[in-house]
Amino acid sequence: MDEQALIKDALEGSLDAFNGLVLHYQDLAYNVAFRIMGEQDASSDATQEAFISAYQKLDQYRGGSFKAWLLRIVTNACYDELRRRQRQPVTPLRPELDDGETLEDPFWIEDDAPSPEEKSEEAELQAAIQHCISELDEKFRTVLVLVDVEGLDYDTTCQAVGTPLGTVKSRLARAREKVQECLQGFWELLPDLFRLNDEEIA
Amino acid sequence: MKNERQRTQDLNHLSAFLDDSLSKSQLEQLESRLAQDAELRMKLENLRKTKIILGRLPRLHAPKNFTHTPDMVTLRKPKAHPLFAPLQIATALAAILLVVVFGSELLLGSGLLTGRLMTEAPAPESALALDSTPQPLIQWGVPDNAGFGTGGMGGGPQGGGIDPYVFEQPVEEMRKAEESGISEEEGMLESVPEIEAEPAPAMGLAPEEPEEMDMLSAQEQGADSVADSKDLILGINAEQAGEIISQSKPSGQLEQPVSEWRSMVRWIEIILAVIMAGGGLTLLLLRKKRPSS
Repeated sequence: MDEQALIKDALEGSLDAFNGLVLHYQDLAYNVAFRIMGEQDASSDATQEAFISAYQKLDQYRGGSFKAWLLRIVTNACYDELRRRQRQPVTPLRPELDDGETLEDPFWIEDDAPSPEEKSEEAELQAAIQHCISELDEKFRTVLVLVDVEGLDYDTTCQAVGTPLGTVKSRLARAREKVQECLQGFWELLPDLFRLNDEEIA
Repeated sequence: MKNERQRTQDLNHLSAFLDDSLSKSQLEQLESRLAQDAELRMKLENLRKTKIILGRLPRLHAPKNFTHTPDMVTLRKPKAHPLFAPLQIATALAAILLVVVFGSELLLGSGLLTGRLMTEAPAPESALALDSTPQPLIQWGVPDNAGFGTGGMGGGPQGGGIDPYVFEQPVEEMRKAEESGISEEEGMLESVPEIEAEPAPAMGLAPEEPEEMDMLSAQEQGADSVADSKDLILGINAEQAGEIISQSKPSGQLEQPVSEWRSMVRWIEIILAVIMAGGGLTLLLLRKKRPSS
């Protein structure tokens, strides 16, 4: 993929060229959104919003890493979505009975999927890691996701979050430490190889 | 406080160590400390495991394509040429100004201008009217003033012309002619060679009505006593003889500002039209160059 050619064509109004960029980056964008938000639907919405926003703001792209520029839009879209959800918390879907009482776990929302206990260890571990990531503050979370989960280098991360290198480094260190502390609560889920030192746990 | 600061610094250095982003001096310092400090080594190992665990998280596939369709987004307008907007403004301004100038010219030309001229015109119009009546030109004994004539409207003196309106024969010559008993016509005929003999004769003498000459001579005779005593000729000091006295401005002076104004307006109109046409054409060319999506 000739990224610069696609960007140039997209800047000149080619929607097909922009869709080429979308197809190339949509997995990365969705992954970042999911790791930041921890929820599929919200992540999907945020990703969609981010790509629409990127298309509308494409003339503000001033060269450099398009990936970093796009990820900054994605993370901002995630923050916006998170704040929106905080203002308008999702109401649990519990139908009212005739007497006004709510029906717990109606049959039509029963989940036939395996319960957490039935999931594989790997899935549990992933859920635990995601849980620990979600416990982090937004800014620490984003840096951790970009560097440790997505494997971006420091420069791209700095551009994506719009902060200096020193800030990124300190946020990353703090985030790693926080996740490490969080994962100690799920140590039985961790493979032996990755179990943390007992001394540290104590 | 110091311990907390040291702890934070250690954490930052350990984290950076994992990413190979320590400076040489920091690396050497940390490595020497790691060699001595088991707790620091364990801390580093736990951070390394955390990093590995985070990296083991699976890459998710997007649940759907996030590609756009034209109905999802407002299609981007192709990026305009940097000169496009300034040219648009300049062309629009030129068009508006051209309309304003045309309108002003129409208004001033048909109503306001003529109205202004009429209010300012009493002197000029009266001067123009005087053109049809004898001008109060008096030329007394000016031998070298041979070229005066119909020099109005800004034109230069035209030699050999005879003022069609004003002619006053030198009184002295007329008197001499009368005294010598020569008829007026004869005297006039005699005077012609004298005038022509001058280096630049003023003009041929136009035939004067006898009645007028009589009246003139009678007036002259009656006024002789007064004129002689005060050296006044027709109320004008004799020293001023030969001066051309006009009480009205030449009509060219009146029309000059109007014509200058009109030519200025013409130039403005031409410049505005050129800007408008040039700008419009350039905009058209720039618009054609923009690729379609």
